[in-house]
Parts: sequence; C-alpha cells; structure tokens
Amino acid sequence: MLQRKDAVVSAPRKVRGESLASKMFSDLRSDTLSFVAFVFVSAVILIAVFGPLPVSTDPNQLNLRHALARPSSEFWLGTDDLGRDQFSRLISATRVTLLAAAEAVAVSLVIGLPLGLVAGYFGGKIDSVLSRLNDALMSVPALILAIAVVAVVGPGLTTSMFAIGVVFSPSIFRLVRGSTMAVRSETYVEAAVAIGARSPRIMFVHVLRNIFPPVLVQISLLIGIAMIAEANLSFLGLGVVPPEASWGSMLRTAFDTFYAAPFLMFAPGLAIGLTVLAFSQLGDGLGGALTGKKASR
Amino acid sequence: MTPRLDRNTLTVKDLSVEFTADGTIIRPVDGVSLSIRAGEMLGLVGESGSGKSVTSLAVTGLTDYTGGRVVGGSVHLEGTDILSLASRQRSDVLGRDIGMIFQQPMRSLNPTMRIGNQVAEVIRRHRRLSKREAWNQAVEMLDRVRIPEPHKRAHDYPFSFSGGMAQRVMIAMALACQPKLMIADEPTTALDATVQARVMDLLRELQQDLDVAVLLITHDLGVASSYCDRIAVMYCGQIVEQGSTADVLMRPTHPYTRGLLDATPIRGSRERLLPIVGNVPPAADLPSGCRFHPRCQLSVPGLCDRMLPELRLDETGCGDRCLHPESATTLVSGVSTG
Repeated sequence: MLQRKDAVVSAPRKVRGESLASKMFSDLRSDTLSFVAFVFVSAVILIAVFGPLPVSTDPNQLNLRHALARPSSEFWLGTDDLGRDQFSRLISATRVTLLAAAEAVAVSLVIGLPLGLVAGYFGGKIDSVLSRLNDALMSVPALILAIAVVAVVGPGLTTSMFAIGVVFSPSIFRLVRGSTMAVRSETYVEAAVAIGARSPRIMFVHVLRNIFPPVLVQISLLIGIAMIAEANLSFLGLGVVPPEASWGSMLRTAFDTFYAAPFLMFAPGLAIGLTVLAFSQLGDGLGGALTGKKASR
Repeated sequence: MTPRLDRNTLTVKDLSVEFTADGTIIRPVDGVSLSIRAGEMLGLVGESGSGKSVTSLAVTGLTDYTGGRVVGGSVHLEGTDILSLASRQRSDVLGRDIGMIFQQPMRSLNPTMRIGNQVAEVIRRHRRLSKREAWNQAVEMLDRVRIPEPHKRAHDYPFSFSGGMAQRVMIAMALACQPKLMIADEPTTALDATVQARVMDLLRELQQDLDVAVLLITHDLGVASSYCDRIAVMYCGQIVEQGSTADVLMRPTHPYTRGLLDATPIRGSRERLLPIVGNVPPAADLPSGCRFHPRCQLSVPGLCDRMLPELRLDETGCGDRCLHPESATTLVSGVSTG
C-alpha cells in the first residue's frame, strides 16, 4: 500500500528540478544552426583561454629570413611581413580580440543595467531624466568617440574599447528599462512588495532574474558588434599596440602586404567574419529558445 | 461597538481613496469603515468595480503603488497607524504583520525562484535567521499548508505546481511570519470549484489555529457565506450593508444585498435566478442620492434620488445604508436562502 502511494506521488517528478538554464540549452540543441554557432563560440572561447599554451612558437618572434612565407608544414598559415608565424599570432590574437569585445560589453552592462532597472522600476521623473541622457548618448557615433578618446589618451585597446562600451550602453539601457517596465506590473513583483521586500532587492533579484534572458541575447549580439568595432580600430592603428596582435591588426598587416602575400588576409578575415556570425546566430537562437519560437532566418 | 474597539486587530475608519484618470478625479473608495477581530474572517463582497480591491490595497498602505491616494480616514492595525508610516517602516510591517494572497496564484510566484527560497525570503526579510534556518522554516510552512513531500518540493520551480498548490505556497508565504492580519484578494476565483473548497478549508483552519484576522475579498457570496464570520457588502465604493453572515444572508435589509442573493444559485432550489437590472455605474459618473437607486425596485422618486443614506450600524456592528430597509425585509418573504 505504502509503495503504491509512493509510486503515484513520485510520477511527475521527472519534470521537477529542471532549471531554466538546462531548458534553454535543450531548446537550443533542437535548432541545428544555433547549436553549431554555440559549439563554434565555445571553441573560440576555449582557444582564447587555453590556446596559447600548446602553441610553442612565440607569436612575436621575428624571423626576417622567412618573411611573407607561404603556408607550409612549418608555418601553417604562413608568416607576415616581419616573418612572424601567422598561426600562433592568430591564436594569441583570439584572446586579445575576445577580451576587448568582452570589455566593451562589460562596460555597457555596468552602465546600462542598473540605470535601466532604476528607470524602468521607478518611472516618473527619474525615468525621464535618464531616458533623455540616454537619447543624447545614442546620438554619439561609437567609432568617432573611440577615435577622439584615443586622440586624447593615446592609443591602446583598453581605453578605446572602454569608449565603445560607453556608447553601447544605451542599447542595454533601453532593453533593460523596457523589460523592467513589463515585469514590474507582474503579480509576483506586487507579491514581493507585499512581503516587505525593499526596492533594491526587488530590482536586482525579482526583476533582474526575469529580464535576464533577453539581456543575455543582447549580450551575445553586442559581443559580435564590439568585435567589429575592435577590428575597425585596430585596422586604423588605434587599437592594439604592436607587437601584440588582434584580428583587426592582423588584417591591417595583411592589407599592407596584399600584393605580395594575399593569403595572409584569409585567416584573420575568416576569424572575424565567422565569430561575429556565430555570436549573432547564437543570440538569435537564444532569443528563439526563450520565446519558444524558431529563430527567424 | 465602542467596548469592542480595543480588541479589534484591524480598524478602518472613513477611508476614502482617489485616483486621477485623464484629468478627472474618481473616488473608488468613499468613506469605508470596517473592523476585524483576531481569528475572525470578514468577507468584503461586491461586484467588479465596487472598490473591494482598492480598499484592500489601501489597508496595506500601498495605494500609492498603483497611483492612487488616500484622501481621508484612518487604518489602524493593533494601534499602528498604517497610513502614517514612511515607506521604509511600511515595508517592515508588510509580510510581518500583514500577509497577502492574490487572485492569480501562478502569477504571484516568481517563475525564476525555487519555491523554498520564495517562502524563505519572507522569513529572512523579517527575522534574523541564517539561510539554512529560514529554509527549514519554509519547508515546515509548506508542510503546514499540506504540500506533499515539502522537503523535495521546496527545490522545485513554480511551473511544476498546479494552481491550487501554488495558492497553498502563497498561503505559506503570507502566514510564515505569523501576521496579525491576512488579506486574501479573490484567493480562489482562478481555481476549480473542488480545489477552491480545499484551499478555503485550509485557509480557514490555519487562520483559526494562528488566530489571524482575515479580510476576504470576493464577489462570490457562496464562498463568503460558507467561510466568513461577518460580511460587508460593497457597492460603488461604499459599504451598503454589514453584519454577521447569518444576518446578512437570512435577513438582508438592503435591496442590493437582496438582489445579490437572488442572483446567487442555491443547490436544490428550483427558483429562477433574478439578475439585478442594469450595471454598476462608472466611478466617474455616480448617480445622485442613493447610489443604488437607478437599479433599485424600491426606489422612491423624490427621496432616493435626492438623499444619500447614511450607514447606520447597531451596537453589534450590523446595519445598512438604505432609506427604507423595512420594506426590503418584507420583500424577502417567500424566498429561501438555505
């Protein structure tokens, strides 16, 4: 008797304990293209973290005798105009590029997320003031500001990506503000007020947890855009400082020696193109998984 | 009434709430007075738009949360003047002295938090307890509202709970800090009839065990009559009749209460349901005189459309707001309410 009762009670337990993250992941798996993008992005991140370890060649080692060598068993992707191994530079540039993009997105999150929460949650005058400031910031072109900052502070990826991040923050602000306004009228927020929870806790726990999925999608899309911004700046020589390499600065080198060694542009060009595409597809896929719809493509 | 006053958990006096919508001022709650003793359940009954929910919100001091403002009256919870509290002190009272449950239990729980954490949150907010102790108390509360296997279910997310189970969780949250007052705003409206009865039975039982005063807001006279000690009937922002459940149901003196009863189905009765003619007038455009007179069968031209009757209560707190209640009582004859 007791056993039978147990069996009945435990029947629906399969669904239980399934976290939202694991549900999102399983939804993502059913969307082939996004899952490929997810695997690709994971691989790029792994290379950025662990890549330089197994690569024995120093990416900054000059070897003028082998300058502009074609791809071979010794130099898998050839060498650049100073004879540096293109493959090890590509690997070490992965970390530089991703870190730069992550920095810009982190800066925009640190600025946009709390302000968006405050504006959306409290509304009224605070919202009007913050939204006007936000509109003003949106009218600033990202690259121009970054170039201006570099002109003042001097070249460096950290400062220019910081400027990019500031200019990106309105996109986070607007998303967070809008989602917060929608979630704020939910009964569970009212219920949180009714148990005496204070505003910061309601904003950063109850509201943030529920608006986080669209923010995650936006982060994925922004990383792609930030990588392009980094490539732009480094291509113009305003980003990474030599001898360090980023994908953008490698593309610049390839551009300078285009007629002598056209093969040099493929590796960094493809790396930028595919990674940006993957982040953007992943963002779409996550968005689809969250709304329960297939990504529109 | 006066000698009992000090024993009241909740005392509301002449409470009025106003909203400004599109430049016009409306007053969905106009001079509401009521009181509830510990362990007592008061049913606030009325149609949609009669001001029940606005009243309940004003009692918690949260009127400004929805953009309204209290323009008169007072709310006292065991000597604490709720309306004069600053928002910080008010949030100390909410959850500790006042527990609330809502109409949509599934939407009242945060979908991204484990059930146990949500119940523990109330406890941690008002008591100095470690996470582990609060969790254990939360599991205890879940057991108390008869959630099977509470130590396991506490780890689950709300989507794996049914409406009835979710409302039990809400009751656990509302009662976790042993409040003095519990406000239940249409707690069973969204639930099946069978689940409704079980949730209400549980609510009634826990309320009496813990000696909590309950303000039950409902449009369902059936629910109110089965569970409440006293009933207050609201119409157009005013209480039109108040009294013990038996009195209000068996001897309604206000024509509106009479009408509500005639429109309520009774099991075993073959009588036709009589709807109340017309609709609740919008709060922005209230009729002159008695607010019920355009829909009232007993309305006397020249009297009911001129004078707004006072709410007259006898020493037991029973009474109504009608210019000629005697005739309403005579109207009752022949209609059974059992």
